[in-house]
Amino acid sequence: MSVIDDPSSTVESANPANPANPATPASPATPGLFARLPRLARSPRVPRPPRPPRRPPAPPRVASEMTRGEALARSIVATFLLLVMMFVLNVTVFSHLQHLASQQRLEDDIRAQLAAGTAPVSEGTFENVLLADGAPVAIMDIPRLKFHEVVVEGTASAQTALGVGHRRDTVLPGQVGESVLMARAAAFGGPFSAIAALDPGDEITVRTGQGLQRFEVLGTRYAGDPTPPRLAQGESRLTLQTARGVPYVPTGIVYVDARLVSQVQPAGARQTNAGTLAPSDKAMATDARTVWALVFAVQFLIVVEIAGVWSFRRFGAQKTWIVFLPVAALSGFLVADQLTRLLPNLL
Amino acid sequence: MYVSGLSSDVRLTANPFEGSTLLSFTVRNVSTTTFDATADFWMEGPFGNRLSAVDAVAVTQLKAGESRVVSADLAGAGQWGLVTAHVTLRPPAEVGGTTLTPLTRDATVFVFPWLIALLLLATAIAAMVLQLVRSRRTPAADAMAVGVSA
Repeated sequence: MSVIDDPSSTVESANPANPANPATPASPATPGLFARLPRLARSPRVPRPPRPPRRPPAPPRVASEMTRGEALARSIVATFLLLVMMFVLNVTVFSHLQHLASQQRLEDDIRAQLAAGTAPVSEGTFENVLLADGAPVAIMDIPRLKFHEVVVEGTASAQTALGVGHRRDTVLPGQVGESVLMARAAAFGGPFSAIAALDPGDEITVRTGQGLQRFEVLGTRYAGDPTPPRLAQGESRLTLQTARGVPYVPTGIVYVDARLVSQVQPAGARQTNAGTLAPSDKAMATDARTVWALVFAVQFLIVVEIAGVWSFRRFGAQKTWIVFLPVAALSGFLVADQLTRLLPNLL
Repeated sequence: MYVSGLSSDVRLTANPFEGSTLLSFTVRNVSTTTFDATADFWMEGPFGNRLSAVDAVAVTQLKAGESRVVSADLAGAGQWGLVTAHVTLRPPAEVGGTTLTPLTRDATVFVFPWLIALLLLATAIAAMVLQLVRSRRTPAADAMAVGVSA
């Protein structure tokens, strides 16, 4: 039986007195007509429950306890990554800043010496003391490249980090004979990065204790190319050397030869000759003489790491970060700096 | 004979797969004899793949004491980013009694990969816009869903 055919259900649903159905108000004017029509029963509207948020709240993170081995492995990996990061930063960023600071200090020194007339003209100072490695000896300019650098004595890795290095077994620029200057092509300012672009006839000037020396570029050459003819009596030549290839990935050495066009100067006394020149002063040589400093720097880094782990457990992450971040960065920088000195001196 | 290093001048073109690079070097005749020479230019990609070459550029009648700039325009640098350029100068076997041998000069050339840079830039902008739209839509949708009253 359907709802329509059931008179009892019809009468009940149309009852205006039914409080459960407020949507069907009573109509006293036509009670008989509407009383006969069938009506569907409506359920009362129930408010919908609120929707859950789209992103449920994340469950609270539970810190996992690490074993001693896991903690040690994490410390070693963190130390290694810190070292790699500091090494890359040191070679690509800090080394250039170091070079800038060194050049400023060296230029102050050499200008004071030039003004006082005490700039070196031999391998010794005006007091007959052998020039220390890294002592300033000249100021070099290449107008076409807008190049301006202070030349220091010695060509080992530590000296080419300061600026252009003068090879100890050769005369100073402008003096009778051949003078060799070396500098880096990429790191520590990359002073000689553009010398391969010099053309024959370009000018190079070097100011030494004997005045301004002017050179004219002859040309560039690579290893295996024919060398310029031997110097005649009373002639002077300057040879520049640096690494060639992709920056930081040297594939060889490039040489730039230049001949003196100004008045030649008498050569000063030299204690070092080709036989006694230290191997670390030769082109593309590395310098392992300061490995002891690397050992101390690594020890310092390990001590900082251990102290950092202890502080992390004792005082928590916040205080440890504040205190140990600069100390860890300093120790990482010291290690990276010593590692950089082991790289070739023309890099 | 003296030779300078190899210089490069990259000129970006509208065609992303072409690219134009002008390579040049200077040769100076310090002998007392006039001679001829040829120069072979070529470029290689980062994997040693040859990109383009211009062979036998003539250096004719290089007089005594003369310096001359020898150049060649090489296409094909494309979007490789870092390419190596080379030139080999082939002088006569002997000039004025001096034996001469071919000389090679290299240069590392950075070619700005503008198409790749543009694609990366467009991807970054699209990601940022998408993130912005999502971040605006999510609070509004959540407010509509949660804020329905009984």
